[in-house]
Amino acid sequence: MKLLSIKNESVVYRSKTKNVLAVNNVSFDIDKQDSVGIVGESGSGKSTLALALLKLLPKNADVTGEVLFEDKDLLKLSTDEFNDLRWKEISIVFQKSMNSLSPIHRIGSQMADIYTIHDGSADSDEVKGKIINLLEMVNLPTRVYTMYPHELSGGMMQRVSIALSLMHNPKLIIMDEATTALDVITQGQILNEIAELEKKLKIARIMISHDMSVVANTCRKIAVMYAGYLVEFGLVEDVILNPKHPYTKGLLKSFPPLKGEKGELRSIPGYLPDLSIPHEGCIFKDRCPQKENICLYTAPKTHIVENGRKVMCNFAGGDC
Amino acid sequence: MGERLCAILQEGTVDMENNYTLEITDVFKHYTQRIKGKNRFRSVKKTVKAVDGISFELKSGEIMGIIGESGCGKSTLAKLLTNLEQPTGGKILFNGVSSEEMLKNDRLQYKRMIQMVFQNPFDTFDPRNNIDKIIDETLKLHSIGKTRDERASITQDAMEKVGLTPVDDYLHRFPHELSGGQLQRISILRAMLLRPKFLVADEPVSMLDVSVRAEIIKMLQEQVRNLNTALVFISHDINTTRYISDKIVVMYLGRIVESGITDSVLHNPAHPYTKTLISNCASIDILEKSNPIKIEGEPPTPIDNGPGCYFAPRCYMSKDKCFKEYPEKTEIEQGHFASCHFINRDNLN
Repeated sequence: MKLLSIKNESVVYRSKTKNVLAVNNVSFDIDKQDSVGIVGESGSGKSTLALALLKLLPKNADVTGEVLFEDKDLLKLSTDEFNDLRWKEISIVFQKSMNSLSPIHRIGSQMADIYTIHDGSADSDEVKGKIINLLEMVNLPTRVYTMYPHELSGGMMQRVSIALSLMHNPKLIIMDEATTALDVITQGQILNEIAELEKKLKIARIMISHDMSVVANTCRKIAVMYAGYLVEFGLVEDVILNPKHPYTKGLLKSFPPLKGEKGELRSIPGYLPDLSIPHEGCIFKDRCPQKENICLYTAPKTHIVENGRKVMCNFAGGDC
Repeated sequence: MGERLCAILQEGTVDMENNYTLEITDVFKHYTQRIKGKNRFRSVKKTVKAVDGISFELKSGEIMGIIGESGCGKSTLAKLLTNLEQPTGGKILFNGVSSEEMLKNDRLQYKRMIQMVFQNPFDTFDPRNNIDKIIDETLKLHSIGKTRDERASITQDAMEKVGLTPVDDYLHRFPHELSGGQLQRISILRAMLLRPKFLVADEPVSMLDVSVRAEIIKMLQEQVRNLNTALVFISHDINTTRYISDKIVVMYLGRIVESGITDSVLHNPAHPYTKTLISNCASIDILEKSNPIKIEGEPPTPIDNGPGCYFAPRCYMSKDKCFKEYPEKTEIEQGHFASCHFINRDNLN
């Protein structure tokens, strides 16, 4: 059962001097209670893609394509209609919760504020009960209700953010690098909690991260993005064990293992191309170790391999 | 690098022996903090023990990794080593000469001997200076190269060596015009140009993209190996630390809980904290079934620790004894030490 289906979504940032094509023709589907991890280096368009879903991009960004959320096209909704969806249907957790929480209001009052905006009929006792419930759900002590953000540690603030996103039982949560700034142990704790909550509340999740290991351990599907293109998409087992796109291979190789042979650590040489200049051929050609003549002039098509897996490479189809 | 450069660099240093040691004995760093007391009108002075009695030895050419959660005193230790903070107690000895004495004699020489690479490459450089000036000033300060031209050629050589070519392209750019990976390489280069005997790298790759991390790690390793420099590599990323280091030290609340040869510690951890850290470390090998050890909470601020083991309140196997006395440092295998009551099982009863 499809929950969200993105079709040919593109985002262009327009400025006086140039147009930057940040997301280019991305399509994939998310089922109910599914989890998709989006990985890629910075500047590959992961966050832009997610923010475009929520219409949180600045005004100079043009979004084209189709985003169907339960058969409604999100991109065609008006701001008012969209405000009804936010928090209630789709919510987001940002990377730096210290920046997304107000420093001068107590945690309880800012959470109540958001609650009442989306549910005006609730009285204050009910709201307080609900919020304390939420805090317990993410393993925070109830005293957090009367505390200020500066009194909390990074992990606790991230938990507050997650509690906030769960407030109105959304169907889809977007986590934009939600655990990146945390310590290993805290990250482990939070990822576990998220997995449990997901089962309990039946939510789908999009997880944006540049850490392959986090996505490998917590998501069912993985989407690899490079320079605005979706270069590989598929089940985690398929993609991690048998990567088909050279970029995915490169990403996996640049990750040192904890056990076994140390091997050689390899990075992907070169840098992201300038996205404001139109390019010819494959977008990855300058950094690709297996490029051939065809890659210089022919832009690769997205090949659909088994299990709904997609690979955008000239050599991915059966025809190589 | 050119012979001329070697000669120039040798002039400035006092001894160029190849074997030197950095010895740290029982170093403390305590901060005082005023916190709210029982009487609401009076605050109480408390001591925060950021680094609480650390000893280790580092020989030239060795790479030591320090791992631990944030707040365990890793960065404070780095600052103590580079004299950005003065220790409250204990001694830092370079080849048997204490750091205080060296600082008294020649501040510059001390600073030149031990250099640091910082976490955030975007904050490391003066935004108003271009790369040329940034490197030139460092060289000038330590009187390497007599004329501007001489220094320029040193810079040119060094930049070429690490693959920042064409050099002229980089020299006239400002820090904001370069990417994180490029800046971090310049940061390492700037530190290594002074031929330090010790290099402290405080989370050098945590701000960088995964795809360039490997490159920086390799460059760091290469530079250190070529010049036989000892490296202290501080990180919370266990995988990377394992890759680069020969020895590893695990810190918790200002103390070393486990230390030893990297693979011996990581494959055969003895301290429950090390076990927890490793089991929580996400792996990309999805076939491997991992059962992360769950522990509660986060490390507390190191105020009024003890008398027992600092880790006891969060430990999954703590017993009465753990709350009463701090465990002795015990040797498990050769060169592998851990501080836990559970290592010798007879201790428990």
